[in-house]
Amino acid sequence: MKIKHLKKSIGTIALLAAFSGNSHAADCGEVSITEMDWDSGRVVTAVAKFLMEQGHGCAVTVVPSASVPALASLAETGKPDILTEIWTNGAPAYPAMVESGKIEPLTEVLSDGGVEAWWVPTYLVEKHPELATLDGILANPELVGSRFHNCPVGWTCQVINTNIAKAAFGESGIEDFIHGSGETLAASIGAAFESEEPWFGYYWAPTSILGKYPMTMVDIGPSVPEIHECNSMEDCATPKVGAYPKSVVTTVVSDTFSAGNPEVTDMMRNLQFTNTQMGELLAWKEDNNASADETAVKFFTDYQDVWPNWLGDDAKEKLSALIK
Amino acid sequence: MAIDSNQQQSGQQVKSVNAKVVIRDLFKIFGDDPKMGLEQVRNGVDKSDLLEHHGQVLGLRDINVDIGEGQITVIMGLSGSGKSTLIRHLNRLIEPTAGEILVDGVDVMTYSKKQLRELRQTQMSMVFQKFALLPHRTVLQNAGTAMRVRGEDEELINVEAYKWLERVGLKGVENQYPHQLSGGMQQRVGIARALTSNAPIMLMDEAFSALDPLIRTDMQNLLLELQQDLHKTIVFITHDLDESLKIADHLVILKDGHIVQQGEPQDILLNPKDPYIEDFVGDINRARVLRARSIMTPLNGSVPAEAQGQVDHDDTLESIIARSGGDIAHAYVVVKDGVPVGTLDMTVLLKSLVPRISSDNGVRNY
Amino acid sequence: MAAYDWFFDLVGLREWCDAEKTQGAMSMAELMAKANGAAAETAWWDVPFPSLDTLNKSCGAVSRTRDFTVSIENAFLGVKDSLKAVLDPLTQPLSWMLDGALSLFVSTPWWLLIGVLLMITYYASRNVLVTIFVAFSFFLLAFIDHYTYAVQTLSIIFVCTIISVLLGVPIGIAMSKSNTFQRFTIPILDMLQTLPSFVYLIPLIFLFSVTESKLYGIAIIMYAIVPVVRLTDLGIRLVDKDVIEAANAFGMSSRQKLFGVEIPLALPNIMAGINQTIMMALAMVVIASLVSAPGLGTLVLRGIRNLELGVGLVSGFAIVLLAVVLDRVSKASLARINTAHSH
Repeated sequence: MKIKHLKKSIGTIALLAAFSGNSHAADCGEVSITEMDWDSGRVVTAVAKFLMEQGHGCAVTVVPSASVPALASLAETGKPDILTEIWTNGAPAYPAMVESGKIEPLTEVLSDGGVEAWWVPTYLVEKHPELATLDGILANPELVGSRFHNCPVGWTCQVINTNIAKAAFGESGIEDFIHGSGETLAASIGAAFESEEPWFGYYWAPTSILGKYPMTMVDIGPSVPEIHECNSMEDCATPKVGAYPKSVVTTVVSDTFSAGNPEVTDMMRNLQFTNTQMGELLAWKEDNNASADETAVKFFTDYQDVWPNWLGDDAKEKLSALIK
Repeated sequence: MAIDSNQQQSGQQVKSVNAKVVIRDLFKIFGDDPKMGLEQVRNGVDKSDLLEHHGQVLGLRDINVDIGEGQITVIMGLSGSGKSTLIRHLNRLIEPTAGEILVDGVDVMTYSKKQLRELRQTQMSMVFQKFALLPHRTVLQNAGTAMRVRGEDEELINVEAYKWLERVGLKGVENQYPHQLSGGMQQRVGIARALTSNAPIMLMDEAFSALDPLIRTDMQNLLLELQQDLHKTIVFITHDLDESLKIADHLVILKDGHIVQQGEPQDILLNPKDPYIEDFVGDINRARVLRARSIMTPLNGSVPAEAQGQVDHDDTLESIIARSGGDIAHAYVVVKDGVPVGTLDMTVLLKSLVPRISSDNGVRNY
Repeated sequence: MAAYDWFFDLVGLREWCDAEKTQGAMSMAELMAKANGAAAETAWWDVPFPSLDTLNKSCGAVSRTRDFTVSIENAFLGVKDSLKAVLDPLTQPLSWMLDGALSLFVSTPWWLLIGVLLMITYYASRNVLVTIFVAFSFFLLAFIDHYTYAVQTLSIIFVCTIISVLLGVPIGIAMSKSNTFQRFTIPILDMLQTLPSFVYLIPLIFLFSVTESKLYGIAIIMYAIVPVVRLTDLGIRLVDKDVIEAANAFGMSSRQKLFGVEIPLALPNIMAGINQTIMMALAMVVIASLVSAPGLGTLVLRGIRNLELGVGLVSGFAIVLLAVVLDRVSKASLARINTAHSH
């Protein structure tokens, strides 16, 4: 009994040593990756981290961040190596940085793109179907509480929403309420649902909020690129009503990193989620009060047909135990 | 209620005084279980024993004092004797564990909070060792404190306060603040404050102990002078024997919370009942303190013819020695208000200058 | 295979455990172990602490920590409506005062408002230097287009400080009179100063709408009230015992003592408390803006979020300038009340 136990221990130690030794997997080394502070971002980072550590033997450092600061940091200092879930709509500096070659967008990590829109709770629309369109809301402002819940000051969506509001609200008496923080915006949705009160405002998908609380998108018309571009600027002379285009959400790496780590870069290039997949994961996460890590585990166990295809042969072999 | 409360032993004519305040069977135990401590003390446990074995502190034990109206009663003792505790029982700043405190015949222990406040506002005033003036009020406002607490008219208050400040010798500083005055002047304000209240009873807690000796003498004289006019009932706390002997009409000596001896100062000096007292009074300049009336032989019959002269009954022995020029053979007739009341031999005088032998386990060990 | 299986088997609870299978999600550690092909074997020194989550792996009937946090959340949502019925009317005056002050300060023409503020400054402090400093500060802020924001912040601080003092001084007095009450209140004060505001603000959003100004009013007051309470308590307790004894000896009632002796003599400490309350209120400006308070805080947030470093720095310094102004003015005016001690 003792000797068997001892043998097993030595075996375990040897295995662990084999996997933890950097010297063995010489192609990777240290990698820094951002973790955005919204749910889909956290899940993406957790999934990426696991694959890099277990499939490629990297030593991964997670850097909590947000779109704009992460881009600035990468452009100025070359770190972090990998930026996850950059919502390009919300980062005005992004196009210029891509053009100048400072950053390299790798792939659209949310392959369907992010959805940014105006929403009302589904229970409200069930009672008053006309509220599904902007015109309907403008005609019956009291039904939505005469208030539009806007993004916090400092977010690009706040500028866009305010411009659309300027163009649309007119005499309707709807207040453009700018929240102080993303937390209060989310909390206002939760509070409204708890008391089944009216709510009308901006939100984005895929998120746990929209996964948890059934909301109906408000039809504010088609999306026109020129209108949207002007709306994105605070001093837009002629703001007009125009829906949000699909938001391109990308993974970005530094060029030094992609040059030095081709296999990891390839994997990150393949790493994508459809909105359905992410939506399902986030809904499960919400229902089970799970952490991002646990959600990643769920992904690995349940979506066996998705993630092995991202991997190169070496990595696939190392993770063979998980692939059924 | 005319109680014959102050017995003398020197054949002195007893002046029957009204007892303004009567303290009866007063006990005070400090601690978390005073009732238990009280029982122990009644069973004979002493102060150190009580502290060591029961964790209670004996403050006062079996106090019985009559405070005469219009008199200065001095309560004297060393630190820890309980004198400050005792004076604070009179206006119930400290509550007794057992006993009665009668003011004008009424037990103040039965008073409600409101009645107690009235007692303090109208019947009693107090002067403190560290002056305890309100630092944010002027001298004039401080003096008028008692009347202001009673809610009297501001104009009236200022007139009275001004009057008493002048009386204690503080003209001109009415609008200054306490911290701008010297210690002696601050205490004069304290006295003026007590006087302005016009209360018949004045409690003085080591009122002069914080002052330097010359100022202290001035204040004692001031007090005696005021008392001549006002005849207040004064309770005076001190640890200074000279002070006590100078101003006391009735002297109470406390030790470790109980009364060792009380009576007329001259009497205590001449007839100490306890080795402790003997040690205490051992250092006194007896010539300066003792008076003719205390050691004279009362007259029984006619006036002796061989007298060298007359001395007043209140003359100090010191002055008589000076008169005699040191001649022991002299004798004098003691006169009170012009009437001969006794005779005084120089030999008797000489003997009385020497205190009784101090005890072996007394305070002093020469 | 879980760490504490042996315990539940030993105690004979295996049946009860397996009856309720609320199995938690697989943890990352387990997945990694699986990936490495090794059994999730733990060395004896690596045995995990018997926490709820760990025990749950061995015994499904033991609820996990997240079930515990969810139950707290549900409890709160359960009492929410009754709490709202009580708290809403109670705190409504706060909303009115804040909204009223905001509109008053913002709608008054700048020359009138600055003029009135300077007059108040001079009247309160009687100090020409301080008044000049205040004038200079306001003109500077107005010159860099921060006037409206500064005035909004000023009005919020003004209302919150007044309420903090009105509530805080009586609480401090009560604390000084009763040791029990003090023992009970001090942990609450500690909590108010250290509990992250968002922890109680987000639930409050479920009670009041986030659009109500009382939300950030409550946030500021709950943080800023602590110094004035503590220092009032301290100040009164520190009043010279001899003076209190004299007050008692002359028959003062509790009320006469409080207003005639204790509060005047505690005033230096109370004033220090009020001064600190103003400073703490200003410290909360940015957090207040996180819950929709207008003013300089919104500029700071914008600067932070957009990486507009200059905006953040300038508005931050504007807050500092306001703090210095209020500090000097309050110190000068409160020192004037303290005539007897300033000789």
